[in-house]
Amino acid sequence: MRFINKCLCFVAIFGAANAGGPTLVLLDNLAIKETHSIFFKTLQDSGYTLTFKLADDANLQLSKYGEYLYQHLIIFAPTVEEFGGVVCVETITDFIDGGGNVLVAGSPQFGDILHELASECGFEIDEEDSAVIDHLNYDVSDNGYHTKIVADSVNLIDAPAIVGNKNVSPLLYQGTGLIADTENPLILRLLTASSSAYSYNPQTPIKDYPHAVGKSTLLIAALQARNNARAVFSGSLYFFSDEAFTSPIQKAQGGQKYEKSGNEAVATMIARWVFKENGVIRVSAVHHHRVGESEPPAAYTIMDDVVYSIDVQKLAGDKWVPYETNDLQLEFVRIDPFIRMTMKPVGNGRYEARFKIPDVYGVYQFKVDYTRIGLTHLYSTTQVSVRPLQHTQYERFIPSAFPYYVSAFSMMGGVFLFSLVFLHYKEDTKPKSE
Amino acid sequence: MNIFMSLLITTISITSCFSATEILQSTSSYLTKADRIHLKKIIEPGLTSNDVTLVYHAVHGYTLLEEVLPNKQDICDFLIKVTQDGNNITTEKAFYIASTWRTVGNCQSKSPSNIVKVLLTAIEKETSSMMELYYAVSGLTILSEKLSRDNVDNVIKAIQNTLRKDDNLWNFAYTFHIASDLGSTLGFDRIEDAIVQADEIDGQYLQFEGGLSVTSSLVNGIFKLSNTLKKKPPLIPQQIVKLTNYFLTRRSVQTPRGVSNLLSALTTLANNDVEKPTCITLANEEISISTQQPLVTIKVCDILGNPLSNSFKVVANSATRVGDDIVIFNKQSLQASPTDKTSFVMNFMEMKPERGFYKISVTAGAVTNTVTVKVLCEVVVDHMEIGTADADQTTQPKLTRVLFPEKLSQKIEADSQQKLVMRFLLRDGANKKPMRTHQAFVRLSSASTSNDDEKGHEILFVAETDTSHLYKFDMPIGTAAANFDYQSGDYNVELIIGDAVLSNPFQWTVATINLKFSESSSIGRADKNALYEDESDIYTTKPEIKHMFRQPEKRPPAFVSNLFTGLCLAPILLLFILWAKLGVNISNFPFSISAVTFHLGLGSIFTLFGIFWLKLNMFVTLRYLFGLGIVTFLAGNKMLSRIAHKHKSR
Amino acid sequence: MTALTIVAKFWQEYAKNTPKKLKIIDAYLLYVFLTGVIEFVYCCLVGTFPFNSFLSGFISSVSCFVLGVCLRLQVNPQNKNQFHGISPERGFADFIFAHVILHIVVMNFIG
Repeated sequence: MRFINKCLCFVAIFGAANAGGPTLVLLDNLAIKETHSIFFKTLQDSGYTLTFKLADDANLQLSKYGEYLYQHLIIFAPTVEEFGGVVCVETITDFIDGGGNVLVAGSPQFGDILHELASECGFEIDEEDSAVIDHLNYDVSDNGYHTKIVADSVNLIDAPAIVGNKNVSPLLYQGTGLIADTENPLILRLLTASSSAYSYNPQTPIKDYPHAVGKSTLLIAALQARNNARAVFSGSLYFFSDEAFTSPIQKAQGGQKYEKSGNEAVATMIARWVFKENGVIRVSAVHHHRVGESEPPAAYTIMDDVVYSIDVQKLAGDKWVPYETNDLQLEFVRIDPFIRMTMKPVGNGRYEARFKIPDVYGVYQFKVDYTRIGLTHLYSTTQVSVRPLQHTQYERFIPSAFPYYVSAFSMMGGVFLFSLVFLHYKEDTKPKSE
Repeated sequence: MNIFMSLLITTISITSCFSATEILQSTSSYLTKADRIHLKKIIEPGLTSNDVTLVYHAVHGYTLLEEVLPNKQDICDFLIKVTQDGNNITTEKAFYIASTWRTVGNCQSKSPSNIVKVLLTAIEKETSSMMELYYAVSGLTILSEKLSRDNVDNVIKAIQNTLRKDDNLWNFAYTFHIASDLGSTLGFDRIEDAIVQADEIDGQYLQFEGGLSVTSSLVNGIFKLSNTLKKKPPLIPQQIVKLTNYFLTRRSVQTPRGVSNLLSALTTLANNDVEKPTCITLANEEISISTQQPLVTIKVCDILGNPLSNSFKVVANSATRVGDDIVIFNKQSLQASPTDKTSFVMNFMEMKPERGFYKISVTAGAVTNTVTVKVLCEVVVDHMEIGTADADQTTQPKLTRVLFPEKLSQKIEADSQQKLVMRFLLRDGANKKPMRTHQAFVRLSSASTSNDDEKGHEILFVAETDTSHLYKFDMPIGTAAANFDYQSGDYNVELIIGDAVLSNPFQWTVATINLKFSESSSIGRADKNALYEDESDIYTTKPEIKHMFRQPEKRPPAFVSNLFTGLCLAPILLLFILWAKLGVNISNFPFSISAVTFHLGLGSIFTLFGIFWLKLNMFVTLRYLFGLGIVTFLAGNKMLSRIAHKHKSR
Repeated sequence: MTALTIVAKFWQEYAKNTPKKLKIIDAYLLYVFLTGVIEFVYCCLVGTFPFNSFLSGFISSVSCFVLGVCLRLQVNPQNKNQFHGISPERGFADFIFAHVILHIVVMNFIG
């Protein structure tokens, strides 16, 4: 029985590292399953088990008996007003807190509940019936209101881990716009609109300042939470549709015609990133010891020469392969960092740092805190204590104190001689006169 | 009186029937050439595949697309090979082989015997499912094999049993197909039950739960049975149109099976006897009408893209402008295009429409549809004036005219006490009247950086109009400074004009302005910026820190220490010299045990102290000291008492 | 009378009237005193870096001097009246005892 348990644990650990995983897909109506079949097929081919359900299905549940049934959640239900079953904004945010990843796509008819979910994640969606309009960058197949816009690939974020190669055809987009706080460090702007775009209801004249204008209009935005769960919000369900994947693209105001839009490539890369297939790194081993030794001592002494090494791995497909970079930093912290240095890669994903421990004693931590756009947050801390010198580790005989040593001994010698002389000297035979 | 009443009623009813048929909607799309190419591309790999299913779908699809099969002989050979393989040919595979055989044509005159055997076995087996019976019966019918009476009766009985137990949609579909092949009336009365289970979506689409395959199978089955029995299926024309609409939304299907289902359903619906759906739509999706392109082209065809059989007039009933519902015209007829039997044109610009979106209601024969077009106009900048004024509006603004699309040659200077002022007027190029556009934004971007990313350092403002459509834009520089992060410098001023009905939206760099913000706020802002820089730059490496070790105490040079060491030894010499001068001697040394012991003990104690300094710890030393001390004490005591005695006795 | 004549007179008196025993002690005291002075000068020159060593060395000298002075007082026959019942030998024994303690402390502290 124990053996089987061990096997299951083994499988579970490996299962967690695998690409793929159980995914719940919530749809407005089952026709979406067929109009977005290429996207879903790509996911299924990569190993995800998709469960399609209507968003207001009364039997929806994300977790059972405290365990999550799904690892990922796709919400392609822009017009849903309320989720069915026990799913609501709170359960979805709990799901994200528990490490689940979410991909949400919308349309100009974003339902209120998705507004709430987006604001939990730090995004604000425009009002109902607003769409992103760009009179200078719309596609030839637009229906007249210039809402089917062409987003150039330069507007993608500079992060190959998330969106892949930026050298793709322009992207088709038709939907609403998002905005996010510029100060939020966890938000990633995957795809922004160009300077002439704005988000407003195309059929009403502009009365107040539009919700989003110019480059601050986000078309696709992502959030990587502090527990490394990822959520991606796209204002356009059309971006992921078969039609967008396969249609040619050409700007109406004069532009080159591309046979196929870049949507399929970018959408696939974004899906891979949000479901933790790409851009996942982890620490696999940490070693620290004095130079010349191989095991860490119980406590270091100040001014020791210490070697710290860390192995970082990246998930590639099903396997963990070494991760190479040259800007991994180590901090030696006792509340404030005393030493911060860049670690040297020594091959095979191992990084090494050699330094001299400061001459201040205390309880320190070896801290590696690595955040890069598109990668999971790598945080490793190892606590060690650094003790001051033992009283036997100081200089034994200090040259500048030699006079004192000599004088002390000479005192002792003086007493000995004096005792000899004082006790046993012989007076002159001349008697002393009192 | 009665006759008159009945005549009136009859007329009204006939008219209402007529008008009921008048308002039949058409579909808004059809199977275009691009769709055909796309569908063909999906099934094309099946022609050379080794899987019978894919070959079947490819051949079936090609036939429905009216495309020529390129490799008939290869397919024949492949079929023969599969047939000769013999084992594990399921009923379904047998059906596919039979159908492909028949479709390809002149493979072999005689049908393959083991296929027939497989199909017959399926029929004779008691436990065959509905699906197997369907494949078997269809396969045998295709191969023109006659079924015996017993087999027919068995099949019919099996069907009736299954339907009684479970009448789901697939079973209905199989029933209709089998009944049609057997020529039996079984199941015709169940068509209504099947149709009632269809789902209507948005009032426009009708589908059966389960998607494309079951809907296609049911539609084919219903019409096949009705044709065989020469009866009309219980479907009203609106239902047929809605079914067609559903199939037309599935034109982007990606699987070969889906392609062949879609094509068979569309072909069935295009040729049915109840109501052949018509499509009225804008040709080539050319929605924009302008003086360069004044023609509205309507395409009227059946759902497969073929021209309609009967001739009729295509009439545009009315054109209504979206928004204010102004009707432009009534009852214009469209001219048929001489080259394309399906296209009908009308010169829309002859009506002199104003710019905007128009809904045109078009009738062709008995069907109607609405198409949307938009009339574009060209926007002309009548005049543009840009300049500065004092923020407190004491003086008139100093404005300079700029001609579109040039840029103002000199730089505008403005500081925090002034405001930037722009006044401009846009005119419709066609009727020269002032107009408003949906988007009239003023964009300021930093002119110093060459490319304008950097987190989008641009600031956009909305320009507003007054009642005479004159656009006014005022930006008080002092209050707007926060938006610029208090960075003084050169900024480009651009005007972005856009609208859905403009044929020439533009982004025009009007001038360059040098903004000077007040100094004090810029400093405070710089501090805040520094703090934010720290916070938001978590994605870059942090600066390195090296620990400064405490400098050890300054030591004197070794020479000095050694010198003083020597000096400390000097007094010993002095002591010896003085004692020598005094004439000390130790001639009174008693040489008794106690004296010797005492002095030796004292010396050993001091040596012990020296060794303690070098090696030992206090505990050991104290132990030794204790021992040595007792010895020394006793010896010393004895010696001193003897000396004292000697002194007393003297 | 100038200071020089006082010093010369003192020196004459001293040389004539002091018993040899005391002169021996005085020589010893001078030696200890000089050693202490040299140590102190050294410390002033180079600083108090190993302060414990300096203290221990200097205090060794100072204490030896003090103990030597005490012995001289006790052994001086002119002070016999003040030390009733304590013979000079007893004084010497105390002197040695105190030295033993002093030196173990000095050795411990000198580092």
